[in-house]
Amino acid sequence: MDALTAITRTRKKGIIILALSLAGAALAALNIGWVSIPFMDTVRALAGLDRAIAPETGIIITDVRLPRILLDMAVGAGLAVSGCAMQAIFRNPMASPFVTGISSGGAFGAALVIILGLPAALTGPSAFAFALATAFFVYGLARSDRGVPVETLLLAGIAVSFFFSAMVAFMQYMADEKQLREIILWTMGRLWEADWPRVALALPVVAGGSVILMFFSRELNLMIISERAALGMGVETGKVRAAVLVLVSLITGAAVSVSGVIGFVGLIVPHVMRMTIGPEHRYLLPASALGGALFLVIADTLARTVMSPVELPVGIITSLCGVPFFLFLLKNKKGMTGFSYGT
Amino acid sequence: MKARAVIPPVLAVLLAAVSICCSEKKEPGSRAQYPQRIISLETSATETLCMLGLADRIVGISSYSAVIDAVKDRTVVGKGFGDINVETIVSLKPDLIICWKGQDEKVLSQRGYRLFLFESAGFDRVISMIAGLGEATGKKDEALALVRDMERRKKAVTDRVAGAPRPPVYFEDRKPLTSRAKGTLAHDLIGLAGGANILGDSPVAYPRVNSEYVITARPEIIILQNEAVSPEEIVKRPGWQNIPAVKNGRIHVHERWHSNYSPRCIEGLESYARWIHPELF
Amino acid sequence: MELKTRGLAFSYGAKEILHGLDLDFRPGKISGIIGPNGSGKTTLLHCLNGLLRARGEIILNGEPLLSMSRRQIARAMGLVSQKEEIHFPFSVLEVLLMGRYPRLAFSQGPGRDDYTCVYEVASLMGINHLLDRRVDELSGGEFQKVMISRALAQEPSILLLDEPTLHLDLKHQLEILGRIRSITDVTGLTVIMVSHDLVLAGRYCDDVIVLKAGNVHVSGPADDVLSPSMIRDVYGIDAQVSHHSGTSTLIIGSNGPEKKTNCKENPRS
Repeated sequence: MDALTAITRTRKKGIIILALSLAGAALAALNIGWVSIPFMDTVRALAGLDRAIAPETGIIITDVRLPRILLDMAVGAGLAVSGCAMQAIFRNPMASPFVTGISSGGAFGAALVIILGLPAALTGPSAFAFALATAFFVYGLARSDRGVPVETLLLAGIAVSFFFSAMVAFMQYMADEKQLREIILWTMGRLWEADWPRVALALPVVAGGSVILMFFSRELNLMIISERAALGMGVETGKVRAAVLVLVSLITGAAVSVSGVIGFVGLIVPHVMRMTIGPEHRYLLPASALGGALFLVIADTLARTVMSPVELPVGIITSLCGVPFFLFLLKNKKGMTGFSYGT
Repeated sequence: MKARAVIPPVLAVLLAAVSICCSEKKEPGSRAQYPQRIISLETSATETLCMLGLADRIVGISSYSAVIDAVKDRTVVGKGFGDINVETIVSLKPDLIICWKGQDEKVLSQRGYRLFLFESAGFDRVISMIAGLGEATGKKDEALALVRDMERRKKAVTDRVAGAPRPPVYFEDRKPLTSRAKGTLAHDLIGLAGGANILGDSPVAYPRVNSEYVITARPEIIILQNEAVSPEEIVKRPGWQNIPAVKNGRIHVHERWHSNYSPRCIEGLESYARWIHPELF
Repeated sequence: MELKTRGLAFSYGAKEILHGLDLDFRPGKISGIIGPNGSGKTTLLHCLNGLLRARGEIILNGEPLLSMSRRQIARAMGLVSQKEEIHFPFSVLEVLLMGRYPRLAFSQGPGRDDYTCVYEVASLMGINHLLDRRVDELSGGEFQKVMISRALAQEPSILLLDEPTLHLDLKHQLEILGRIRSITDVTGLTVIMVSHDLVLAGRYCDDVIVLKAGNVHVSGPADDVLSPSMIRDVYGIDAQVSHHSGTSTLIIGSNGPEKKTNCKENPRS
C-alpha cells in the first residue's frame, strides 16, 4: 500500500530541494572568498589532489574555508534543530535553544575562566559545562511533583538568564582590558575562529544529537498539538520533555562553545520550515537542520565576502537578510506557524 | 504659572553657561593662571604630562594610567571609557580634565569643566596634540622641545629606510583578526619605518580582516598589539604556517607605549624600523 | 474490556467535585453521562482516562488504572476531548497516524499494518476523501470525524467522547453518532459519552448515568432513566417522553415564556 499522499510528496520534495541547495551553497562557499580560485582547483583540493595546484590554494580550501563551512553547517543545523524541538515541547513560538539560559550560562562559564586567568583551553569546556548545568538547574527549578509546567520553565529560564547576564556584566566591570575583550568576544559569534579541532568537537555532537532528536518526532507531533492529546495518546510527556531538553542542551552547548552565541537561527529557521515544509516533525526536524545549515553557510559567506577582505560579524547578516525574509513569509502565510492562543 | 513661561529664562541661563564653557575651551592659554588640578582620563596624556614635569598637578586618573609610577597613588575616577564617577571628579575640584573625544565629553562639559580632548589620530595629529597639551597647561616650550626631539628621531629613521624595499607588514590589534588601517598611529608608524601595511587601504580604520586575505598577502613581518593576541596563537592558526613572517619567526609583540599618543610613540617607530629592516639598524 | 469504578472521588484543591462514584460500564454498549453544567461530567471522563488522578478505584479489566503507564492506558482507551483544536497544517493522514502512537515502539515509524488500520478507520468514519487535506482547513464536522478516527486508530476497547456533537449541525450530529452506534454494534467497542443532549442520548445510548453535583442521581438503561420525573429533578424542566421504534424521544416543555403556537424542541445550550 503506497502511503504517499500529495502533502507527503510535497514535504519530501522540500527536503530534497533543501539538501541540494545546501550542497550547492557549500560548494559555492568553498569557491568564494578573497582569493579567487578556479572551480576545478577547488574540486581538486577537496579530492586531495593538491599537488596539481598552488600550495596556498590547497591550504585555503582545506584548512581555512572547509573547516569554517563545516562549522557553519554544524552550528546552523544544531541551533535550528534544537529550536524546532524546543518550540514543540514548550508549545511556544518564542522558545529557542537559548530559552533555558544555555547561552548566558555558557557565557558565564567562559567569563569565569577568563577572569580567573585559567588556561584559555578551558574556556570552551567551561562554557559547555555551565551551559548544561544552567539548563538542568532551570529544569530542576521548574519541576514539581505535578510535572514541569511550561510557563514556569520559560519564566525560570528567563530569570536565570538575567542573573547570569548580570554576573557576566559584573565580571566585565572587574576585568582588565585584555580580559574584557576576551569576554566580549564570547558574547558575539566567533565563526572566524573555525579550525579542524573545533569542527571535530561540534560536528559529532550536533550530528549525533540531531539524529537522536529525530527519534522523538512522533512525540513532538503530539506534544505541539496539546499536552492532553499527547497524554491521551500515551506519550509520557514529562520524560520526553526531559530527554529532549538534555539533547538540546548538549547540541546547543557544543555549538556555543565553538561559535559563541548566534541568535536568530534557532528561533526563526524552525518557523520558516514549519511554514514551508509543514509541521510533521518526521520532515520538519531534518528540514530545520538543513535549513539552519544552509542559512548560516550563506550568511557567513556573505559576512566574509561582501566587504572583503574586511569581515562583518555574522549576526549582522543573519538579521539583515533573515528578518525581511521571515516577515515576508509571516505576512503571506499568516497563521501558518500554527501556534494559537486563548482557550 | 505656565510651564512655557519658564523656558526663555532657563534657555538664556543654559546658553550663557554654554558660551562661557566654549569661550574658555577656545582660549585656554590666555588665562593668567594655568591649571593646577588636572584629571587625566587618558593614559597617553598622563604620560605626556609627566614628561612635561606636571605629575604633581595631576589629582585624578583613569585606572589604566596607574601603570605610570609617578601617578599611581592618585585618585582613580573610572576606567576612562564612559564609566567615570562624577561625584569623585566633583570632589577633586579639577580645573582641567583631559578626556577622550565623545567619551564622557558631554557629561563633563555640561558641568562646565574645562576640557582638553584626545582623539583617534595618526602621527602628525599626535604631534599637534602633544603641542596643544603643552599650550593648555602653560608648558608650551617644554612641549615644543619634546616635539622637536620626536621630529628629529623620526627623520633619522626615515632617512635610513629611504630607498629600501617596503616589505608587507600585518598588524593585529585584537581578536577577531582586527587590524589597523590609514588614519591610525600604527599604520603611520609602519609606513615611516619602511614597511607596507597590508591593510593600509581598508575603508575602515579598524578592519576586521578575513584570514585568507592575510595568508595570500604573505606578510613578512607580523606585529601584535601587546597582550591581545599571543604569537603562539598566530602560529597555530589554520593555513598561517606558510606565511613568511611565521616561517621566519618574525612575529613581534609591540609594547604598550608604542601606540600611545605620547612622545614615547617614537620608541615604537624605532622598534618597528628595527623589526622591518633589521639589516639597516 | 471491563471498566468500573469504586468510590471514585476527585477534588480540585479543597473543593471536592466527585463524591465517591460506583460505576459499571457495560462492554459493547454506549453509556451516556448526562447532567447539568458543573455536575462533574468532564472531570469524570478525565479521571477515567487517568489524566486526573482520582481517589478510590478505577479498574480496567481487573487491573487498577492508576498503576498503568500512559501507553498501556492509550492502548485500552481512546479519548476525544471537547476542545481539541489543531492549527498546524498537518495532513489528515498524518493526524490519523498519530493515533497509532501507542501501538508502535519508540522511534518506530508507521508500517503497512498501521496504514491498513488507518484506512479502515477512515472508511468506517467516512473520511477517506479527506486523507490528503490539511487538518486546519476542515469544517467542524469533518474535524470531529477526524478526531474520533484518530482515537479509533489506537484500536481501543473503550472510547471516551466528551460532547462529540457540540457545535455541529443536525446532519453531522446524526451522522457521527450513527457511525459510532454501528461501530459499537459491529466491533463490541465500549463507548462512554458525555453529552448535554438528552434527545441524542435517548436515541443512541444503551445506558445513561445522570450526574448531579458530583453524585450519581440515577443510572441504568436509557429508557428507564430518561423520564419526565428525572428531568424535573435534575434540570427543573417539565418534559414528555415518548417512545418510537424502540428508542426514547423527548419532547421538552419549558417553565418559562415561549412562542404560543407550538412547543420548542431541543433547547440546546
